[in-house]
Amino acid sequence: MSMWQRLWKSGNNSSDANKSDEEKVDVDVLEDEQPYNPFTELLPLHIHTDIVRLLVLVDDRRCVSVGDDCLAVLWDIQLCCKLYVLSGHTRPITCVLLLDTKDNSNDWLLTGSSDKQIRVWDLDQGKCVQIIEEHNTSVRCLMSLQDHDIFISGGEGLHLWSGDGKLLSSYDRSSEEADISLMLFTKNERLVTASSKELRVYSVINETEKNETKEFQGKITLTKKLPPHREAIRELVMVSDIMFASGSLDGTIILWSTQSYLPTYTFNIMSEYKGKDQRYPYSIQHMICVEERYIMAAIGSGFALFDILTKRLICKKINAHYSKVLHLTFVCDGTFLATCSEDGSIRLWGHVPTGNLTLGERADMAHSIIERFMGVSTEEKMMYPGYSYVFEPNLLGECLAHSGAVENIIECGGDTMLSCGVDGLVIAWKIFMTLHALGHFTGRV
Amino acid sequence: MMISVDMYAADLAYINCLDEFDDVMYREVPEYAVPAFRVQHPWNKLSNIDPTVLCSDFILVAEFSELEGPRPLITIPNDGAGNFNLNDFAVRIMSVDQNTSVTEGFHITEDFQVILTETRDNVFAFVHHFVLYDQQARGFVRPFAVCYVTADQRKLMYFYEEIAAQMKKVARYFKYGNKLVFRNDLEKYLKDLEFTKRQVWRDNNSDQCPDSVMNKIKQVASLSAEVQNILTIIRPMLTDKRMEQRFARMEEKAKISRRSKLDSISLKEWDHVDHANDTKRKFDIHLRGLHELCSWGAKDGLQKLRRIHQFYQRDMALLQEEKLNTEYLEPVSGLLTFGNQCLAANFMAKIDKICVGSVCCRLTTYKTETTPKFFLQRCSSNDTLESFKSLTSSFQSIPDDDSYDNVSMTSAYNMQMNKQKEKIVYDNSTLFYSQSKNSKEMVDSSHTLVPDNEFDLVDEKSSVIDIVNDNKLRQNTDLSENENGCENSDLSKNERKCEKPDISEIDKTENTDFSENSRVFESETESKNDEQSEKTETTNLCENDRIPEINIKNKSNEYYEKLEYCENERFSETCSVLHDKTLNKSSLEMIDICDMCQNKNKTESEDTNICDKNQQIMIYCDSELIHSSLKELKLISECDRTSDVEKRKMLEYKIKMCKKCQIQFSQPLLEEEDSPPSNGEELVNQHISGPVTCEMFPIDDQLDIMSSGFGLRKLLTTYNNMQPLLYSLLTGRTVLIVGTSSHEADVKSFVKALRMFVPTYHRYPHSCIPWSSSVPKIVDLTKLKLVGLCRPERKTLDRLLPNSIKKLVTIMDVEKRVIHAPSYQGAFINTLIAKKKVFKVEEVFLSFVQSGYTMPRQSESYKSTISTFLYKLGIHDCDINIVEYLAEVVKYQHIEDHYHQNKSSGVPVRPIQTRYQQCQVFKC
Repeated sequence: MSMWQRLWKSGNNSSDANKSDEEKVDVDVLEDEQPYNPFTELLPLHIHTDIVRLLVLVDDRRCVSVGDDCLAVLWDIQLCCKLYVLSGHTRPITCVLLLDTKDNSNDWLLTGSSDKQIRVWDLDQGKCVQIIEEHNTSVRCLMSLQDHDIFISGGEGLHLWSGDGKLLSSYDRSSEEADISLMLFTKNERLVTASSKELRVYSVINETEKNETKEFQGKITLTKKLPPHREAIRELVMVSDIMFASGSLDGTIILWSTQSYLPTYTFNIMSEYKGKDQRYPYSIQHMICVEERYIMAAIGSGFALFDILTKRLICKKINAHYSKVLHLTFVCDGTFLATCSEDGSIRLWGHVPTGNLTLGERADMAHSIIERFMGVSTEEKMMYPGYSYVFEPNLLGECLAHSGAVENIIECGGDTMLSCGVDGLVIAWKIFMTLHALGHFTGRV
Repeated sequence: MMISVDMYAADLAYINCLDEFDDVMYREVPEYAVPAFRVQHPWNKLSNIDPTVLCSDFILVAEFSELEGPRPLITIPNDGAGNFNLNDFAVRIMSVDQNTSVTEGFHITEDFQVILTETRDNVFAFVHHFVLYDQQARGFVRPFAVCYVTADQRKLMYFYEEIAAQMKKVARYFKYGNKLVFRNDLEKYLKDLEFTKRQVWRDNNSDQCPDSVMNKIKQVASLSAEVQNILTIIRPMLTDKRMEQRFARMEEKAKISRRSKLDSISLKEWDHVDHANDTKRKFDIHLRGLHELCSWGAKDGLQKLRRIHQFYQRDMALLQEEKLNTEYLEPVSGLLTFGNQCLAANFMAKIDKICVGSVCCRLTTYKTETTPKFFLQRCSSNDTLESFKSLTSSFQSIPDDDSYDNVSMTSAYNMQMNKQKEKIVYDNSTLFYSQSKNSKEMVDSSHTLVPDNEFDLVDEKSSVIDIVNDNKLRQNTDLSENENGCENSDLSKNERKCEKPDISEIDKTENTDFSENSRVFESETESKNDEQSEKTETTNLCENDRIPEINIKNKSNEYYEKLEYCENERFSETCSVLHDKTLNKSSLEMIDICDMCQNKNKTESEDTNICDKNQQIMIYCDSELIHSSLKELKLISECDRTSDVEKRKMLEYKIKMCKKCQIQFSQPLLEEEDSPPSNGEELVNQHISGPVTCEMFPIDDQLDIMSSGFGLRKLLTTYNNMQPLLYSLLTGRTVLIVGTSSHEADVKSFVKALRMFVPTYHRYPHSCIPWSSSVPKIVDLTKLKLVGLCRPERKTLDRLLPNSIKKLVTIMDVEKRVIHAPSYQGAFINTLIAKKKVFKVEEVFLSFVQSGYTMPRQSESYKSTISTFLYKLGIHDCDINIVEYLAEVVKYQHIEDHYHQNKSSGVPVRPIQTRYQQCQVFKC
């Protein structure tokens, strides 16, 4: 048993943690009354007819949801009404990309689908303005390059496109088996792709000056193959300018330097990662990076917060849900961590306010998201060297409305949380300032 | 006996008159002079005095005929004038000289409006004079006048602007149609003249014409020059394309229907048929009738007149009340309804809601123009059929074509407004229809429930008649929007027919008023003896379930005096409050009501009750809340048939905490503000437009839809702990009433009974499903509020409902008699259902509940700031949620209407409130 595994298990005081059946694990249960749950208003948005996979925030007011029903729907979040239904794809949409056009004030949305098309939509008019078919293979991921009017599409192939949809360059991946599932663009103009266990680094060469023409020329060349993970990479996340992280099915999180492209640190190495019936109980489903220092990862049916600076696990919840946590995000300025799971629930985690301070007041005092999430005092305690305190957050709320796995949650506009799931619903959870809820924030109740 | 009748005829009238108004005077009449019997002339007691006196309002179209002088042409309705001397009256109104300034040649005469008062005869008329042009008439002019004749002067004064505007509109139809006809006539005439000229030239082709011929030619030339001159004046005036299109469409429709109906002949073809058919022409000279003169303009104008008559013929009290109350009903999306019987009106309807977010509020001033039009439009449903018939018979120059009238009426609508708007008018009418129908139903059932009323067959007639009159009056208000005219007339016919007074008739006048003071007034008017003295039962049900005290007062006068006193007090107080808040006009209105109420029919005066007084004052005082940017709503128990709109209760107030609410609120209202005040009709259309209102009051042919709430008393008496259930309904939490198929009837009746607590039911009738076998989904919960759910025998409740649903709904298991719901800690629902044992009759209890949607009063807190206000409200934690939810309902109605109006692609979804309350299990 590795050190991480021991740490991971330390919450479970039972000595025979390995033998304990997953069915018997203690998952927090909330009463009907949820005094700390601010999302008292829910608005089911029903257009999709199949699994809704992805939610992408366009701006403060608008959001796009895409699903397996080949549709992308643009929603007005504030009023919770449909703005446009973007239909045209013939296969499920796998990825979306918002494109900032420098010359054009219109918002462009790119959708990649397994029907081998990339479609460009004008979000202000709800129309498809361009269909890019030169990809020729199923599109798995899209990424826009910062500071350049170009974007990259990945999947079976790897292509570089100009902002107006012209194919600039493509990289021949015919020798590789797995599709590119994740992409990341580092500061030094390098592209990192993940396909199955492998990570590769490409350079996107800017040839503008060389040719002395104004037209942008790009070329993708493979620069490096990184040492592989033990299992398929599930998440790739940018930590800072000099660091990115990858998480895989076995639960390992590797920090990579963007300078040397070598692993700088490895968190969460599990020795028996496959678990019972190859369920991969520690698999990483999702990771977010907070303040360029912390990595919050959805691990199995729980989640954990790692501090990159001190290289420590500072917060964990092993059995947060009955099933795997699919997505997590901080809501309400970090007051809550929202996790969604295959068990159909969204749970809100945080610390129960102690003393005279209410949640709102405590949130005001904190400086950062993590401070707000863990509470100021905890943060202070944690800062002592040699102190091995691991914060275990409390279940503060449960948003139950989906009738199947919740695929994605995002926060938008400060008072809304959107969730989507396999039941085809997009649900907007709103902070409805009832007097009841208000009471908890103002301390009157 | 006959002789004595003749002998005392004059005295009788006098005495009757005295008897009506003054008992003291009556006693002074010598005994021998008192007739031994009393002529029962109930329909119109005033007509005993003078047969010529006006009994009901009517509209008269008169003309100054160059052959006969002033003569009446058309009355609306046909026999509306009764014994009134129309000829004299026509002379009176037409003896004006319109062409005061004599100018050379042809000129257009301006219209003018006069109010005539004949105080002696108690006749008052609003006269609109206008001139039509007739090529065949002397000087081409035919002076006409349209007048609204009434015995109630205040009607003309109070609604002066409205009537004037309406009359102008009518005259415009007439005149425009007339000008079109006149132009065509002149053009034809001009051609004739040209032809004549040519003919004369051709006939006298020689070089030298005889003088006579030359004179003839000169005459023709001067004639054609004159006609040319007139045409140059007329032609530029014919610029109203809309009106022409309107007439053209009517023409088209007539052409289509002509094939099937012989009597609807296109007017353009009239010329050819005309002369063969017309047998009523007088003095051998053809003076063309109004229809010939104005073509479709006459049709339109007369229709409009019918509508005007229908609207204004009602009692002044009703008109005024309506005028006052319609303000609160606007905009339609601001209405809060409960079940299908209760209506809460937006009390801040006339307040600039843009500013609600901030502190300032102002009252808009252009209300007067909008209201009557709104109603006039609503009036024009098919129930004017009778007056159509009467009218067409008065057309002397045109075949009976009322079949077309029906057609043209709808077409007229289409032109005035677009189709959507028409729909709304229609839908609104169904609201009133359903209500009236419902009330009828309830009356019927109460008939069986109140068995022991004894009546003398001899003399109760008059009192019943009183009641009937009164009912008629009320039905006019209630049912004027009723689109099923036959229903209406049937009802009144039945009433007239009934020899023995139906208990239900009495029941109609019985007024049951409730206030939050839990004070109940039940007054029944029964006639028990020959002298028609009415016995009034006053039942006071005081607070805290005290046993009802019954005060029987033999002298009804006392009772009425008391009532009147209170009314006056109430109105004067409200006046004073209103005075500094609104315009002077409003206070005038109120004063008018004070006057009017005193004169009101006795049964009418029962409508107002003492308890109302406090509320009224409270309501108006509440306008102070405006300044604290609060929103309040006033509840009108519409169904309560005796007092319908008069009874209104203040219901709720709310602060919009979230700024989004403010934004959303102000969006639709911004547009209303943008429209210019002068454009009244447009404004009204904006108020009532949008397809969503079609949804609002849908026509539902299910009969049981009428009886929502029925069975509530039974439900509440047989089951305990119903508060949490009602609380759930009133806070928008979906309630599932679960039972196996053996309980189907029970579950259905529960849903029916509880439906009256669903605030969205009117708008979305599908928010209540009496019996369903499928478990509602999360998406359905936004609109589904009350569902009777069938549970399969083998499936337990836990297995039936998914976890996500279970947390969002309240469940009542009929089998186990268990309610799973958040608990209720408040006062509102408790007071609402506390009286369940006091009432023995279902209907009475229902009316109590309907009128009882009131919040506990906290007058001190009104004045305090928002936060303290809320804090003080916080005493009844759960009641806040109710108020919040109701306000949310209204908010979303506004939003939805706004979106439907703008035809946006998506309409905002209604939220489901999950208050995360602790659910408890209650045994019931």
